[in-house]
Amino acid sequence: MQIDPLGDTALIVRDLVLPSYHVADLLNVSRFPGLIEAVASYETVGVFLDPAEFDYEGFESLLEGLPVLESEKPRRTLSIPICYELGEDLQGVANSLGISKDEVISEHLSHAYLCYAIGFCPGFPFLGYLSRPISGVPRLPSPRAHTEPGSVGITGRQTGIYPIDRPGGWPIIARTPLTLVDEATHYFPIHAGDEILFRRIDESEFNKLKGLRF
Amino acid sequence: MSLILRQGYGIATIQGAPNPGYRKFGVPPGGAFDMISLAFANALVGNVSDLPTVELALFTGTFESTSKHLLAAVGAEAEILVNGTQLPNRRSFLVSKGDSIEVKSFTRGCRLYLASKGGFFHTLEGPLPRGAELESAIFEGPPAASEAPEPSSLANEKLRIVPGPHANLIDFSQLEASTFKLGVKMDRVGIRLEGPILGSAPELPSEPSVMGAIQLTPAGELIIHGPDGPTVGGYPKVAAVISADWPKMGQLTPGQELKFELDSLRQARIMAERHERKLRSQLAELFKKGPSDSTG
Repeated sequence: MQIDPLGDTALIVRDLVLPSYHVADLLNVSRFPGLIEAVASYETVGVFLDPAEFDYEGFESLLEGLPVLESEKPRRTLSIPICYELGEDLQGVANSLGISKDEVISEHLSHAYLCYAIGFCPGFPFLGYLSRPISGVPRLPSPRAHTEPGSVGITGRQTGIYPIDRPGGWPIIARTPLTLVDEATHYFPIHAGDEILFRRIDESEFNKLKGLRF
Repeated sequence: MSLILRQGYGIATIQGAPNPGYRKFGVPPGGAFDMISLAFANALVGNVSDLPTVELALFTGTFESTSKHLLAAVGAEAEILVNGTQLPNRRSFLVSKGDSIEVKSFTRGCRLYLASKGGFFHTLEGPLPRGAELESAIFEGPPAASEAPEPSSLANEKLRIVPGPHANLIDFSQLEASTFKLGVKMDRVGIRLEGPILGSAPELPSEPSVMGAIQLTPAGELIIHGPDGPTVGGYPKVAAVISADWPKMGQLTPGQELKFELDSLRQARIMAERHERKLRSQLAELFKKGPSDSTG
């Protein structure tokens, strides 16, 4: 493991021997003095700390001594209904990949995804990885000013969901009717380490499920 | 039991202590951008240092009081008028039902903190709209007249930094020698710098970020993350502003010049401790003077 300081209030831990979300979970329950919170992102963990309380040498031993979990299975699987007919960039994505819309859809639905991180904006899950035939789609040349809440985007090897209206650069291939974040009531149903399974729905089912929560 | 925002230009938000613990859901901790001014404003009305205040960023506008309140404003230099009469800076003042509180003419610094005895209730998220009602406790009693010192955050032409995880992408001696200019692209999310291009960034997997982190964009621009910055960022982090200088970031204004000074991490930790100690002793001093110095 390697520890890179990011200023005097944060560390980035890399070269992990466990999945980043497991390390973040273990650190968050460690009650290590001065540790405010630990956050997973792909291959790294961010550690946010109070410099007055934090014991840097003790933290290295804590990392070395983390228990190795027997199973690396995702914590749980969430099924998220999505409607490809509401994916405004689906045709453009198919064109850029040189395959049909139906092929994009079947590749996107071909397997479950792991949530590697939540970030960018409240509740945005970074999911991976896309199968090869739909990988490598670039970001939009210029981000759109507004993205419909629930929009499902793809770029590079990642797919993700905009839970709220934000300027967005990922091409949009589908939309979920579910509400995926509500800061006021601390509703954050998706966590790093969860497995996400997309389920195809049509527009009439989309309208029926609009606004529902897990 | 409130102040009503009658009209305003610029950004007014309710801000107090940061609220960590939700980064894993993509929610940054937020909190007042200039914690020194926040603490002084609160101290002038007898509050603990991090109660919610109104953070006014380059703001011009008017509030109306619906009852008796004890208020104080500290931070950027600006004019504050109650019913048309200008008040001295960095002192507490009483308002009554129907009084108008006008804030205008920011001449130095970016953010002014308006505190009320008992704090403002933190029920409003995001920029306050016209007509917003900011609830606070009624105050019956004499004002505390002690004056807060000028917040050190207003002296912000230089920020101290430490190298970040991707420090190898730029030349730090060149960075230290450069003068940057601040454009209009700055808010609580981030501050974009205009200046020499010191390197260019490869695409990396997203990694955690923090307030003060300096990201290098593919175009070679530098962006400093603010209290509402992203919890995870895709651009390399070449450096980070030391926490003792975060309050100064909150007082940066469009058009001003900015330089960086390289520090060691060990020094940054000592500075964080020294910063905390100085603030605590200044607050203790304010509280000591407060009640005895009352003008009634």
